[in-house]
Amino acid sequence: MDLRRCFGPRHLPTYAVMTVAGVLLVVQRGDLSPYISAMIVTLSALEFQFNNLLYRSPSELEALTILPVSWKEVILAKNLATITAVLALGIVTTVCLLFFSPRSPDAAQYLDALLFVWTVIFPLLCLGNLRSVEEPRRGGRAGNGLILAAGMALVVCVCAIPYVILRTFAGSSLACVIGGAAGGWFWMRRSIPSTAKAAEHTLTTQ
Amino acid sequence: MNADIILDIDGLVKTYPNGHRAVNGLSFRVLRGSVFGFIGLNGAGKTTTIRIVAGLAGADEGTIRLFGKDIAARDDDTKRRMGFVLDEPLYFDWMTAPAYLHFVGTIYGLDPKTTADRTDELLQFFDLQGCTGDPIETFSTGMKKKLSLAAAVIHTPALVVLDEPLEGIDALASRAIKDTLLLMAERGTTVFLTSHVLDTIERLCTEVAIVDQGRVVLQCRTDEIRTRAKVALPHETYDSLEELFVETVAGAKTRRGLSFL
Repeated sequence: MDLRRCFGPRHLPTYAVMTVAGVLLVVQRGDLSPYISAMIVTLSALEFQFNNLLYRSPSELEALTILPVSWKEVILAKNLATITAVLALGIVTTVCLLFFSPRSPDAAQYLDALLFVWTVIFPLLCLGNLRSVEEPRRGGRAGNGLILAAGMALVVCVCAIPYVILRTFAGSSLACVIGGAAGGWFWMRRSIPSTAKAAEHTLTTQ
Repeated sequence: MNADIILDIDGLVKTYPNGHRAVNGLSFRVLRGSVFGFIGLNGAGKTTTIRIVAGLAGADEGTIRLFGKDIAARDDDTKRRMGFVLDEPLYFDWMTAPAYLHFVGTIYGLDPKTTADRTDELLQFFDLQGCTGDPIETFSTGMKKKLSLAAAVIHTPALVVLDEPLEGIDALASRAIKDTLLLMAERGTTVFLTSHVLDTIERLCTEVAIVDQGRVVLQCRTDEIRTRAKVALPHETYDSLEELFVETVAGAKTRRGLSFL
């Protein structure tokens, strides 16, 4: 359900503006990897899906609360939908950025981008889950979507610090894989259960 | 614990962050198979009580027991036995009506065939089959209410809680809904509803509770209304629920006419 909402007309302007920003960035800075730039653009444009999980439609949390749902399954399904959306939108954004990039695409850059996503996606999901239960935005996307997406770009850059250290400075892909796996473990074992518990009680504590 | 008590609310208190005490020591019991009318003026605390029962708000004090279990547990088994129609119908507004009913039926654990059959039947019954391709957000208030009611009964719950179920509904659908509620009650479903249309409450309900300023001020069987003596005039009895309601809630307060009319 979330996937359908992700690709609805409401979010197209944000995707378009963020993609244009990504294109300008790769054109201006010829040394930037178009793949990683595309992933930063994608992750930022999907800010609403990461950070407002419980209100993807205006009364979603309430509607789910009265139904006998397993909150763990709901949060897991929503997070998996987010990952799928990242992959789907990531492909489109990558194609756009590659088209305008002065650099010719190569396989090493592509693998680097996959490592990048693997390293940052779980911390972003954990942070998003936390924000979704602590600051739920009932109206879906509150305020200006572009400002929120720009803020998300900063968060993505902060979450990319381990990748930069491990991959760029230490030159270890294996360390990135292990780091990403640790993030995945924390997301599965800690973030999902605690988010599910918090979601269940979000309304009753109001 | 008496197994015939489906809903047992005791000493419920709810104060909103702005300091408004919406529910103030409210207590009542709903018996299995009854059609229970919960009536009161606007702001009396009816909707807040229902929202607490539905798990959409928390109580500051008091206990609620549903099917003998404390509501704090909020287990799925209890939720599966209930259906809700709330003042603001809740759904995924971008879905179509059949998709929504299918989703709800699946969540309630109905098998695909039963879900599909009941979805078709409910859409036909509530006269919604003409707009099966439209998203719910384009529906009128009455259509949304009908869909909400359809979703509340698709799994044949043991208790349905309805907040103003007939508000915004056309006369034909209203009649059909009332008949359905009576049929459900005959078959053992407990119906708990609020309405400002007191004639309807009097006709449908087996028991009523009048709530005022967050507490129940009177609870009685509907067939007792006419035998109750008036407080002011003990030798007279009430002609209708409306008369009992007005005297119970308004008491000596009377509304004067507007000075400019």
